[in-house]
Amino acid sequence: MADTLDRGKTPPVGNRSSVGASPEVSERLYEEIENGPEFKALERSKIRFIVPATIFFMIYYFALPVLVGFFGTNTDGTPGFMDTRLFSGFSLAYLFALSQFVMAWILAFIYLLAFAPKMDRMIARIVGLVTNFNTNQARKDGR
Amino acid sequence: MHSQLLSVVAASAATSKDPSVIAIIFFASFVALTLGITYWASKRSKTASEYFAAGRSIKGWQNGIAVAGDYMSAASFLGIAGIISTQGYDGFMYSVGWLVAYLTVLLIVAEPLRNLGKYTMADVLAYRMQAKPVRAAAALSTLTVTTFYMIAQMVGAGSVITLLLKLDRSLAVTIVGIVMLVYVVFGGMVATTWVQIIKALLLIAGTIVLSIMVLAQFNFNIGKFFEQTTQVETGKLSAAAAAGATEVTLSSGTGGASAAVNKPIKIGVDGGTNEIRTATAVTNNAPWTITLPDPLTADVAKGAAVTDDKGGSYIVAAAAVAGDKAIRLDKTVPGVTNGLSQKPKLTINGQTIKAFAAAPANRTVKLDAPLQNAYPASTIAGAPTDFMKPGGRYPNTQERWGALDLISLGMALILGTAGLPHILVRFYTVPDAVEARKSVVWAMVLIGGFYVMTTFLGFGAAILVGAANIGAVDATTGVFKADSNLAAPLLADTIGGELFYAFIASVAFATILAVVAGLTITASTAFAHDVWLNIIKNGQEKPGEQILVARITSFVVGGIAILLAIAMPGANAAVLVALAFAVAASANLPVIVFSLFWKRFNTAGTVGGLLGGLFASLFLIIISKSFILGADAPFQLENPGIVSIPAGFLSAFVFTFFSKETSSSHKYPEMHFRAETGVGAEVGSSGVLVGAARPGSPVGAAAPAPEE
Repeated sequence: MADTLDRGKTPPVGNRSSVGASPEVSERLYEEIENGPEFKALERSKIRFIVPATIFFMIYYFALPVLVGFFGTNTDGTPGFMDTRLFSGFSLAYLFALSQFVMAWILAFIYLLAFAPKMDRMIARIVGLVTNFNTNQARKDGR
Repeated sequence: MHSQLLSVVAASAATSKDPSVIAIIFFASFVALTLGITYWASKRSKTASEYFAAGRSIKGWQNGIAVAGDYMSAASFLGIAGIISTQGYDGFMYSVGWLVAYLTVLLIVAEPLRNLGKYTMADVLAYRMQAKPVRAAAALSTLTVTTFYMIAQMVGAGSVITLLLKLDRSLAVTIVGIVMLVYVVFGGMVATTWVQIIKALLLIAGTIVLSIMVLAQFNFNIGKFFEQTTQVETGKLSAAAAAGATEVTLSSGTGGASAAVNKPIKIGVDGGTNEIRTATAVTNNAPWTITLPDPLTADVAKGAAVTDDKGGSYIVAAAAVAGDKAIRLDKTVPGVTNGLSQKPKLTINGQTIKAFAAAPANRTVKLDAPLQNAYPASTIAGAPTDFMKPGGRYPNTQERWGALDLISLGMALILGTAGLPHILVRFYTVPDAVEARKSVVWAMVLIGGFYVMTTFLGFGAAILVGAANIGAVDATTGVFKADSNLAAPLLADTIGGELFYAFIASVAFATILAVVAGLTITASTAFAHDVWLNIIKNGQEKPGEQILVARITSFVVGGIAILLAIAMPGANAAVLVALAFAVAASANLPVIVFSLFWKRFNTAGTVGGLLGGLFASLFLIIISKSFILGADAPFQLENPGIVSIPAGFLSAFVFTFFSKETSSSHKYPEMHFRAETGVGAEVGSSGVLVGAARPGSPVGAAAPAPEE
């Protein structure tokens, strides 16, 4: 693997697809890079963030229609638990609905500012491998 | 100068039947501004990449505003405010779902989609599948979703323009349609993007000002605002009440219906005069209007006898002919019954009919003390209703349909956004996945801020305009018709006066115009790129042909939307759009997710999933209570999501195993690599494929040739 891939260099670009202009890439490139440690690490770290984040926001979100639907009012029309008033007309159901906005914003910014830059650095390394591979390949082919 | 302007304003305000001069000036200015931008942009759209994807040169923050502009449609601005202002808290569920939905877009689909696609959703789905069947099915689903979405916009546009310019409804819809076609046909994606950006900023600015003005009515006391949300009056006086009167007649709207013995009755509005009395007796007054599920099969003469299943007897108040879907009844034995039940079983001409709904002409309410002031007819009056209480639209009954409908709606909203073709294509207008990600977060900030403010728009209209006043007087018949889509413009009129009303109405119009433009370009691109170029022409075309086909498609799609919107009654735009979301979540989302993350997924699964989800959702909408069948519909939910979304996933899953196709799994590693890293993705404004595409890759091979 080490003879075709120069893992030492990392170009400055991230998830920006400004890879070298050669459209010709052999099957071996993908086999090597896709099975290489860099890509596996990228996949693992994405799964470790995105799967729990998705499960979390889905549960948090669906709690709203379930709680409001079944416990907003009782079946006899009297106010349910979620209709508890916190101050003046402001209810628990409304507070929980508002908290959904805060939850969505916080999760989005965690992804954008904390997780994504790390992911972009890993992608940059992989793109660097592709670029180096293309350059080496071109040299070997005598182009 | 000033007094002249004021007298114009006063004159136009006084003659409310005439079109507002200010409204027309605002409207004309906006159209002129956007047409100017379209003209400027049309000079720049030369290649297909520029026309369909704005040369992939839109910056992340710009695209974020454009996504917000594309997304905040008539449903958000008119529809949500409309539901909250007439049915309370439940309307806010739309606001929440439509924002949280962007987490699905951000975490799961935006970046891989940007890396894999070119112009349409089908590019991603066809990437490793057999292109023709997948593109055909995806184009069908795209056209269905965008048409559904567009009908809702046109219905909203019809409401606003009819009120704004006092035009005939059909004419209003036709004008919207033609202006929007000019945008898309001549400008393409660059023009549409700039229209979205301008409209999004105008809409947010207008909403902020409107929210501040609502809060100013409560002296910026948020506690007082929430207090008032529990005291909304939902009925009207059906006749003037004199000072000293001890009884009043209330219209039979929801509030009139909520008048009950020993419950408070409030007459007048906050800010003006108002008095609170207690009802000592409530009488339903004849004649009753009975709505029938099926047309009458024979003529019914005036004076004919009718009985109901509760032992009441009535006479027909006005002759009805075969084909009528309503009859009017008078009581014959006063005092025997206090009117009909809500859904009576009637025997007419020896035939038993289960009626839809029975509404008395009005209710007479006896008051515990005489009124101090005189009130004209149509003054807001009735039992104050708690609009903060959940269940106004989706009541939690024994059968639990309301609760299930809320969950079904939630599923459609949160999973539908990531399957909306006109939102997904917006990510092709940015240079790369990083910008796509940034644009989602930008959009979330703007959209979320806007949706929080729907609280002030919706509850504000309920309190300040009055839930029973949300509607317009029909220009031809002179009769008031409830129309929840008018809540926001009427609120602006009530608290801001003519000028502000004109501004908000123009913003609403611009909102719809921009969304319709986005929808039209998506539908026409799906046809031109997926059906015409890739199926009919096998990927080989003459220069410019694809753009011409897209322009022709725009005219056809626009024409169909105009006709359907004219034929549609004034339903709530948010509810209609939620159905489009259910179709998108059922047909598109399952196949997008499977094609990105499931190696075994193949052509049969993609086509099966698209068509299965599409037909399941359409079928359930047709047999649901929100469509023509009404209360007796076999499907007792308004939104089909809870059944049709699992059906979409299941059919995509099952159909996968009907085929032994292996090429789709063989191409998966390459697709996965490109989706994750962006290597080989479409880049830059040149529109040329740059990078390490595998030889023979479907997109890679087809892409460069027809580009320039």
